[in-house]
Amino acid sequence: MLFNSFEFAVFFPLVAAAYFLLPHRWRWLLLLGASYWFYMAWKAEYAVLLVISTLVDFTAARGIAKASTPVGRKRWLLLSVITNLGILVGFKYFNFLNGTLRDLFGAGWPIADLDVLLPMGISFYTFQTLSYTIDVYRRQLEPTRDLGRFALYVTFFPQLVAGPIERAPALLPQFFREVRFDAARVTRGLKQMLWGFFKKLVIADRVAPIVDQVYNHPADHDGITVIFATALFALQIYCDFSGYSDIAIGAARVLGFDLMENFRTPYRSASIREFWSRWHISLSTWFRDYLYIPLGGNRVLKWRWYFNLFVVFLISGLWHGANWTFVLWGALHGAYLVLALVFAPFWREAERKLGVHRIPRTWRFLNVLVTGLLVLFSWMLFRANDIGDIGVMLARILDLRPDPSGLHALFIELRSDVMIVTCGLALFFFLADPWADRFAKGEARSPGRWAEYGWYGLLLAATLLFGQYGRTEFIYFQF
Amino acid sequence: MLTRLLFRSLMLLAVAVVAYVLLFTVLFRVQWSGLPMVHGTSKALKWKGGNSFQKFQEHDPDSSYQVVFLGSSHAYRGYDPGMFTSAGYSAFNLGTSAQSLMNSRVIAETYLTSRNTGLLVLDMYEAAFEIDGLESTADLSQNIPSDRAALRMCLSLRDPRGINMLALRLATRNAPPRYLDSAYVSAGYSLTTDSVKGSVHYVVGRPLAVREDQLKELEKLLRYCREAGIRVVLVNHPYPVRSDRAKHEAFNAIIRERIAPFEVPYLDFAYDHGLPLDDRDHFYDHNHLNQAGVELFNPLLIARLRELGLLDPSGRPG
Repeated sequence: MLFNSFEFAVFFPLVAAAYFLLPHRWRWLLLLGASYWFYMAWKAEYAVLLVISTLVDFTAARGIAKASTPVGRKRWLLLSVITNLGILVGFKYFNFLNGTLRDLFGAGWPIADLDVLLPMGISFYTFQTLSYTIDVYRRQLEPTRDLGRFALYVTFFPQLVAGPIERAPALLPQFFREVRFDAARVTRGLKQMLWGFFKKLVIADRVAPIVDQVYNHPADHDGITVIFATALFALQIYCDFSGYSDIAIGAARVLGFDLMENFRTPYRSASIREFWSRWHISLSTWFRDYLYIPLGGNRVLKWRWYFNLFVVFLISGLWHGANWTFVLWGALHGAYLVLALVFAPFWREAERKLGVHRIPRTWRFLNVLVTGLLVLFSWMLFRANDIGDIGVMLARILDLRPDPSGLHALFIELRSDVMIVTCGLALFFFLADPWADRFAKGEARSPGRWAEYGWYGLLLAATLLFGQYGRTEFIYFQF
Repeated sequence: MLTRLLFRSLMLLAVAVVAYVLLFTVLFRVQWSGLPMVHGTSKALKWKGGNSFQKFQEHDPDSSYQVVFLGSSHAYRGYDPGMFTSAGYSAFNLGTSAQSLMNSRVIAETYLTSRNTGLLVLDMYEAAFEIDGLESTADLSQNIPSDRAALRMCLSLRDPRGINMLALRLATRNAPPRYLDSAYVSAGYSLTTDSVKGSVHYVVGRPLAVREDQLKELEKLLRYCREAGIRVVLVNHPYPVRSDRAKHEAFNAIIRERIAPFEVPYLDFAYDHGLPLDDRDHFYDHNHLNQAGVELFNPLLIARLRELGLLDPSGRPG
């Protein structure tokens, strides 16, 4: 089920109403049933994978706790890791690996591709359940005896298909706690949901056709148009994914649960490192805790530290999709970070000599600008349909004779009035986001009740008037 | 606590309505290239005008027609009421662009009764069963005279864009149509004499994606006609030979199963018609008949309807 569907508009209020009407002891069962319903509305048979993940990780965690020897503990952990990564590799990466081998060895390669559909949200829920068994293995968490609530932890519908990737110590205890109806909390949740819907329906889905038009036919467009489309894609992916997170966090809040923050105005970052502390926070911290630190983190030799960083981002790229474009995107971010570390001493020296401490705001602004350009360039790799397209687009950008009439032609082709409204909304969003994001999360000071009514009334009206309501999936569903 | 939440929700709703009216009004007043900017809010907004406007202005629900046609562009370009009139049967074509089964049902429930409709010919182009009805509702919501019908169509969409369509209808209530269809003849018919000139892409092998909601709308329409005493015949006009026959047969299998309880005749002329039709000379694109094709097909249809007793050879409904 999609958040931006008529079905969800009926489903969520019904679930929320039933949830608060039921006594506490039955609520987990309602949420579990609703979560499976939510997932099975997409493809019922793939719910089997959720059941497998749930049973294996529940059993493995219990096994780890009961095992009397380190070898025994490790065996149970391996069972969990192999099962979860096996599901992930089988459904998501098998055809990619097989295709790569076929390209290497030629048409005579004997293994055929699998005819399977990528299960929605597979990368999210496998990582979430995996973190549970790893935490138990590390003795950071006692395994739960409650299979029902553990199943709910794996499938909790607001964050099941696109995160935030929650950790068991944060989420699981919340399913045992009795939640009372709290109007202020419900209101806060609904406000964050509304902001998420605005981002998804009014910004992401409006700019999507413009981006698609350029990226699906890169050879037909000049450098200016490619840069324009890439800037819009930067907004699209941010609004699409952070919009989903806002709806997920808001929906969970309405029901009385706290999910972790996933985005914090990432395009205001003054370095790539800061960007990754503000973009898809639940995934960045997952990789930090379960891959980067086990690899040795920064408590190793310098070259090894750089290697660890690079590998983590390479794998993060692959996590996003079974395509070389994602691997390249991850490698680029890894390279950005390694280069920033290598040149950090020279950079600090340069800053000292330039005396930038006297103009901190201007200096930060310039850093935000440079970081934005680096991120923008990386989005081009991320969105390109294949490696060949990246070459075409780079050639177009580097062409020193850009033709502004190409952008004009794009406006005409996609209807100039629709384009102007879309660009106006995108600009409005870009300027309003730093304040609106904090306001939606309840962090900014209220400008007064009537101003709040005005703001959310305007958002509601704008979502109705400008929203694109086709059944468009969220970009991160494919990951 | 709950009361406070409800009160705040109502307040927010009231403010949102005011904000919506203000936004809509501003965008309606500001012009871009001769069109109000509100047009740029969505491609799902259409303006009053075109052949849908013309036919509903001409259509008189108080007049009695022996044959009424409903359906998508296949209907209003493929069934010529003039030819039926020449054969002795008064006819009117209420087909509109991309008309979905939901639209057909609402039009029938609003305008067709046993007193003004002798026989309803419903065109069964499969694409009409594969669409959500947004495009046709955008058109009909601006052009259908009945406010109630427009409201029902927009609500049936289950899409917030339906509200924007209703707002536009309200804003242009007294405005003249923005454009007229030069191909419109009369009695709801649009005539196309063009034949296929350039290359045409015949889509073959694309899987059939019939929507369950449209099938249910077909059943509702047939149920309404049965209760209202309107005779119905389902018809498919000829398709080009190079179009996707396998897909059409898969579609027919679904339709025949769904209409079985209603016992309505289904005349499928898509590929079995015995007419000397040429893909280039008798069609103007990959699936619409041109006038030369219509002039061959309509007499055949009239003859078949007479054979089935749905039209009286003397010129009265059978």
